[in-house]
Amino acid sequence: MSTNKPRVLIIEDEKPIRTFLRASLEGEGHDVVEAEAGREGVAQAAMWVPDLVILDLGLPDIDGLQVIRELRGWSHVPIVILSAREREGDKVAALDAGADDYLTKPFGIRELLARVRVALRHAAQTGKERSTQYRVGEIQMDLDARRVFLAGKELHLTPIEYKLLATLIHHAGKVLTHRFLLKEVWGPGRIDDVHYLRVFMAGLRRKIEADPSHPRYLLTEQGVGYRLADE
Amino acid sequence: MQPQPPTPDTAPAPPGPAAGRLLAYVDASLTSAKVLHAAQRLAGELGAEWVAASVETRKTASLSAHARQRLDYSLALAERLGAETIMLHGDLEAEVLLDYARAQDVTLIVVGRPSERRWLPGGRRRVLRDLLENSGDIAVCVVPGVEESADREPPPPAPWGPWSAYRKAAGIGALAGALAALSDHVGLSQLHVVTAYSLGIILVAARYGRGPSLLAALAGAGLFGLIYEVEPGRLGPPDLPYLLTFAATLSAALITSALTEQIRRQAHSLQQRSLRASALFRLSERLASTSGAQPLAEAAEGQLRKLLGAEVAILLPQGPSGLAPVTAAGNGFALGPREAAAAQWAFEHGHMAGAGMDSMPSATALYVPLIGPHGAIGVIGMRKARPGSPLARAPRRLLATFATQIALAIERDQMADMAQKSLVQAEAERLRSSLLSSVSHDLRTPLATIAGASSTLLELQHIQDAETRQQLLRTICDEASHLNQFVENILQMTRIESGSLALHREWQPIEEVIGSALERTRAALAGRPVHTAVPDGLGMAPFDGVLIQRVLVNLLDNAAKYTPPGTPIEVSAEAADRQLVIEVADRGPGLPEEERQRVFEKFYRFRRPGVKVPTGTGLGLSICQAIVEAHGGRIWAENRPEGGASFRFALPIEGEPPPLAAEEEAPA
Repeated sequence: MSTNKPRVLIIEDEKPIRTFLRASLEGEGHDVVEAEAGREGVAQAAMWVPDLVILDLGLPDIDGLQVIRELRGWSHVPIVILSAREREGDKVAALDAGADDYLTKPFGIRELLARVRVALRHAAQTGKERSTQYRVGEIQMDLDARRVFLAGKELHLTPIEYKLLATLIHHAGKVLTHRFLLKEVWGPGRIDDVHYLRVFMAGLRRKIEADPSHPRYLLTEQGVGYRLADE
Repeated sequence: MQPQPPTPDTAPAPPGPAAGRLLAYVDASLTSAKVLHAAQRLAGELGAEWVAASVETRKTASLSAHARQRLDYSLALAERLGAETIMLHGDLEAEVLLDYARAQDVTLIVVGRPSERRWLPGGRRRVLRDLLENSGDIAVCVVPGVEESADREPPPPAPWGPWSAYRKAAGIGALAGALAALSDHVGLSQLHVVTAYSLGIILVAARYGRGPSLLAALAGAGLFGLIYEVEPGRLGPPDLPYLLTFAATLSAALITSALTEQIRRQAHSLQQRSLRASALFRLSERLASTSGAQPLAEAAEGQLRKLLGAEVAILLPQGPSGLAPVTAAGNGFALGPREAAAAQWAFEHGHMAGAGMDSMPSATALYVPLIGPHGAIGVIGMRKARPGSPLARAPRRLLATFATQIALAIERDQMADMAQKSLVQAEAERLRSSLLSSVSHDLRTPLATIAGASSTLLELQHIQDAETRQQLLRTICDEASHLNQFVENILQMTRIESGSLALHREWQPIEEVIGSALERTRAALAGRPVHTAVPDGLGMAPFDGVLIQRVLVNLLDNAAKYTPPGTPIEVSAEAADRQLVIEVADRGPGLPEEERQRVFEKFYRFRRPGVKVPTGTGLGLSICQAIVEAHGGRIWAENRPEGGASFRFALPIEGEPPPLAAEEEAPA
């Protein structure tokens, strides 16, 4: 970050959407630059070096997925996807291609700002050494001591449950795809065994949630993956 | 079909199905059971239909009760073995059988061999011999006979063939003549003699016809003359009374033979007529049980080929290229320019054309127009009848009848097709119009609100206090979210209706979907107590998580929409009998009994007098139903005894979840 103000690049072809995004982001104290198309967006990102990119998947010139791949060729800048397509497959593809989060149009501005905050925070962390102490709501996790507390009471997790929770809490607030979680927790050999993930997630919920069928922390994004509620 | 000189040597092999049919000849003998079993086996091996035929002749009328019983038993056995049984009528069994066989495309006749014992009656031996002699290209399979005692059969008459008839006739005549001539010597009066002579000649006439009876009369008279006249003292011109007797006998023979001939001809034409009637019946039966232009044409062509032994093709108008065969078999029907012209002429003028006709006689085939109630719809092309087939010389009227049958069948099919299409169209039209009215109302109302509220904010700033502004802004926000929901439902329904709803069934815990659905409806359910009840040991079920979440979201949205704010909502799940039942229940006013099914209808909206209809598409529950049914489950609505409505859906739990390796195996 070269200035104090976080810089946000909006790549979106619809003028009205750019207008209200700019208004709300500037209201939150961000510097905003707009691009109307994919190629222009990639060029702006190279020149202006933003702290965050908000990217619409349906662009007039090149596919949004292509933009993600090009950006990821040389940059770790967090990317938040806007998509009118409600097909879960598109979201998963964008996330697996390297996007950090997504929002389905239409969305509330509060939701967008929350995602932007989460993405900026994670980006700020990646530069530094990984934190070993986490606190989300009543969950407290100490990676050094390998201990987990819920409302001050220690939880006894199996090794897999522990690793799953550690991965989720490290990316708290961000949606993690099934593939990503399977790779992080089980390794590349189990990348398609979503069933495993569901079984252990159910176990984890039973230990953490007061009502596993109405969870407060471990949220499901149907067809996409899981998210640990952050705020 | 036009009469053609019989040219058996050059005639091509008759077209038609290779399997053909199989005929078993059943008579009153014990061998019939063997014949039937053999025929059944053969038919099974050939994959052919088979017929058990018995022949009713004058002889069978005089069968003993015992023999009659045996015949009935054999026919019953045939039916048990899966044969079609028929009874043919005629005098000569072999001729009747072969006529039937040719008409019905029989390729193999199974018949029993009579016993070898000479003293046994020769009737079946004769049938067998006649069959073998005249069967032509029909195969005959002979099954060994069963030993029978002599009392079973009445003595049948001697074998008859044209030449043997003349021989026998001459013999009988001569015998009668000789008897008459020698009557004096054996002490009979001449009256007896003349009576016996006349009787003999008349019998011959009745049995064998005109020629043999004339021969018998002449032979008798000649021999009588020879013997009588050569006796001493009898030389000289024959007596007038004898001449008169001879003349009278001769006339009686002629009249008798003419009458017999007439009766025989009538019987023959009756048989032909019944053959044609049954052919027509079979054709209409096949056509009635077939639908679709191509299968109909195939069935009609097949039947005509069998009946006429001709190369047959049904030609229907197909686009700009004019008449063309519709079946694969019909494509073999060579349609050169000359043929095409004849076919076209027949089609346009509604009259037969082609070979043997006044119009277009240079064509090699005959073209019969298919005329339905609304004019010609096509043409049948027919070429080269098999000379042996009994309908080869079928009269044009018969061809026209066939053509009418086929035309009616094809037209009926086309009408049914059109009716089906217009029904589908009408249904689509109805849906479209209710969609349009729904869209115009549900799209315009929130749009009007948004436009009104936002323009008020823009243009009337001076008269607004902070509270009014807040209210207007909230309205815009709410209406936008309604619009979004509306569009989402329309999209979902479109996807379901277009058939592109693909299920991604995965084993998963239902609590996860309940959780994500509650998360999605958090705003709609704000301010209400939400209770969930999912037993701990519920386990997993196979379903599409995204779609079942949609069902739950729609049910929760509905509950929020139709019940007073702040009233509780309960979500529960239970598994029993390999099905998972999920319930969304409210504490609202419930559903009137007659609405319980209707709420799932498309565009149906629950209305209650005096209550404003909440905004929505009337699609939410139809979408739920479509999704649940796609899973092989069902959805229904009930009223809770303690008040409120309950929507439940059941999903089948089929198969087993994928196995899990022990946790230790996974890298920790």
